[in-house]
Amino acid sequence: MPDLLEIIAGCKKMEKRAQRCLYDMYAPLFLGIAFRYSKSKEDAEDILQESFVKILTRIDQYSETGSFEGWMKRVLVNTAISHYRTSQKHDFHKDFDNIAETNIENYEVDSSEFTRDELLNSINKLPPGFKVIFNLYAIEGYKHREIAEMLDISVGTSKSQYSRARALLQTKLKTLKIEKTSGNKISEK
Amino acid sequence: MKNKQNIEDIFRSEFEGFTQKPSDKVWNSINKKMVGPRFESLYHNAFKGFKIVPAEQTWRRIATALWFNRFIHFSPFHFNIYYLGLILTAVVGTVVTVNNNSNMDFIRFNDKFANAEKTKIQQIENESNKLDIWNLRNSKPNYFELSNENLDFEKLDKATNQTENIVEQDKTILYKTKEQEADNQDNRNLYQVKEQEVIEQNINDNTNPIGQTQKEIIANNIANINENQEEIVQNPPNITYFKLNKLIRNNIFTLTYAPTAFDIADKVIAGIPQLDVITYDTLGVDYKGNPIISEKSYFALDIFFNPFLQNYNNALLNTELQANLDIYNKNITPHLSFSAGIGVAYSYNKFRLETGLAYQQLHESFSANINSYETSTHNYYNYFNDEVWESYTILILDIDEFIQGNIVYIEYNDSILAIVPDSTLVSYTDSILVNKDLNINDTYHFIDVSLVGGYEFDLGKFSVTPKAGLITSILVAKGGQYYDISQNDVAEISNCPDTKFMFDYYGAINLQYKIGKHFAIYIEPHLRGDLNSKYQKSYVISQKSIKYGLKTGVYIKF
Repeated sequence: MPDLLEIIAGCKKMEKRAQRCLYDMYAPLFLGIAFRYSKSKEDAEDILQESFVKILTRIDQYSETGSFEGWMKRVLVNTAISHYRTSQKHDFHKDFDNIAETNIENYEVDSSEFTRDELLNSINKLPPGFKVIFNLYAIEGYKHREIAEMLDISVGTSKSQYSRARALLQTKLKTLKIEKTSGNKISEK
Repeated sequence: MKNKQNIEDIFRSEFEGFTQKPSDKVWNSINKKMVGPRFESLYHNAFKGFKIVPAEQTWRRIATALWFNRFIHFSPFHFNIYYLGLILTAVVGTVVTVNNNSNMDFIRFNDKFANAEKTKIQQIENESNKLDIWNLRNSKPNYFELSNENLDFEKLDKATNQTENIVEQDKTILYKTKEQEADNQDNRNLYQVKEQEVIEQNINDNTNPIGQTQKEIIANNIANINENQEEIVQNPPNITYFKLNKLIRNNIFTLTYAPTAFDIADKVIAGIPQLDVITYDTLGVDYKGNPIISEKSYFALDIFFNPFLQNYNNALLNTELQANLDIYNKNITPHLSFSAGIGVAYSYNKFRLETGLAYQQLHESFSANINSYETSTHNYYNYFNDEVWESYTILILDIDEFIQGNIVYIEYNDSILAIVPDSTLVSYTDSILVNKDLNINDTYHFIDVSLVGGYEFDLGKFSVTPKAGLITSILVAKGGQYYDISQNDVAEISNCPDTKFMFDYYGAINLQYKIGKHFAIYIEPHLRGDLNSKYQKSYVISQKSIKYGLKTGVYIKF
């Protein structure tokens, strides 16, 4: 496997082989990220494809001072947000505003209680706006200031919406846990 | 074992490094979209800093163009066309001035002056050997000396105070050349001119009677009384003029003969004996007993110009396009065209065979009013937000250093994805129905090779020759304009090479007028028709034309 710097240099020269190497290295990881922002695998692949075209055509803009993977992720996330925006026929700001306040409590979950698919399914069941903010903050680790800039909303909105998304997710997980417990009991009987 | 975690931690740990295998079509799509940028990059890298040394020939062409450009522009510091013009003007001016200086001691035989008809000598003839002007010129008698004692003019010049007319018959003036004089001083009687009449008129000035005296000498035309020659001389011999007063004043003059164009042509042809193959038949004698002669055989050079009009006969080779043919027939107009060239004819016992080479230029125009769709391009800007990574650097105060009393900044580099409003020019094409006037002018260039036969009916100075034959035309180029369907407009085309052989039948009546032994002019009304189409086989229209023309020209017989 060639060195990442060699791959980057090859990509800057538009060498097909280097581009393929970069794709093979990062496409599975990026598809996993894109999957959390989209409704289906097809949507996720669209985001992945669009992101890679941007990465490969704008690789000259990468200054080589920061993390290359971080730069690529940023492109991917921005593409996912753009994708999300264009897929929303209504003003996506309303998506954040129209969710009713939920009783927020600090809820701790046992990691062994849920599988990855169940967690992913619960994220996907969130309203799209909540899903984006939750992904950005909880999983990608962006700060509310950065999220506010990305989504063109205020920092306060980002914080409050995240709280609501989190509460909604807790509720969903609780419900799921109850369903699983009752299901187990029925099956034991 | 229970492992209670914060919800964020659960999700983060579950999805950290979470991968999914994309389907093959993702890379295929990416790969397709990268073909364009890769291609651009390939050329960008390939031609970065690319240099090529031009060929020597290219540099020579440039140098030639530069030299020519320099040559046609004036500059006092280098030789150019203006200097060349000055030099040529000076040379030509000098020659003309010298030749027109009235004080020069020579005269031109064909000098024209006010009383030319009153001062003429028809011919100078040697006593023992016929000497016409052409022979005189060829023998190069550089100087003639008129000895005063042999001139009766002297006696006339002295009678200055009166106006009188004197007519004397059969006087003889003796001439000799300087060369002959040097050979033998006593042998003076070498050239003889028979003086027919001498007339003096208008002697008004006492002080310079010679300069203002106008005299006329008409020498005998010896050719007319030469019995051996008179049968074949049809036209009077050439008449040569010179100023007698100047001749008298200077006595010595240079014979500089300036014959007319017909003189030269006649003598040139006559001077090539092997080509002078005109033979004559004696048909009988007239009532005076003189023989009646007629040309039996001759060669002739034919120089002609032939303006003609034409009619098109168009036929359709694809019946589905009848509407197109109708439009074509309605709007195509042949115009006055011409051909010009040179030919050779041979006549024997009045049967004549001719062949020739001519350049033919055929003109036509096409004017039509058509409805057609015209495409137009509309442009507008599509605005969008582009993402650009902008690097920035911030300085963070190092607190550890600060509490120790130092001010040290830590440099921190980061970048932020900025949304930059941008736009792209979007174009789309549309079409509208427009009405257009088309005015197209076409020119066809042909080389004609003719083979024509005929029979000449001789009517003295006139003759009539019905002729028929075949002309092969080779289309070599066409130019003008054409209707460019892709542009929906008239486009220029200049001498586009094209080749097509055409065969025409030719019928004519040649009406000839003989103006000398060697020359004849003629007009020839004719009809000429195409045997095959002017267009290539791939055209859906076949076009044959019938041409009506009036050919005019000159025969030079030899």
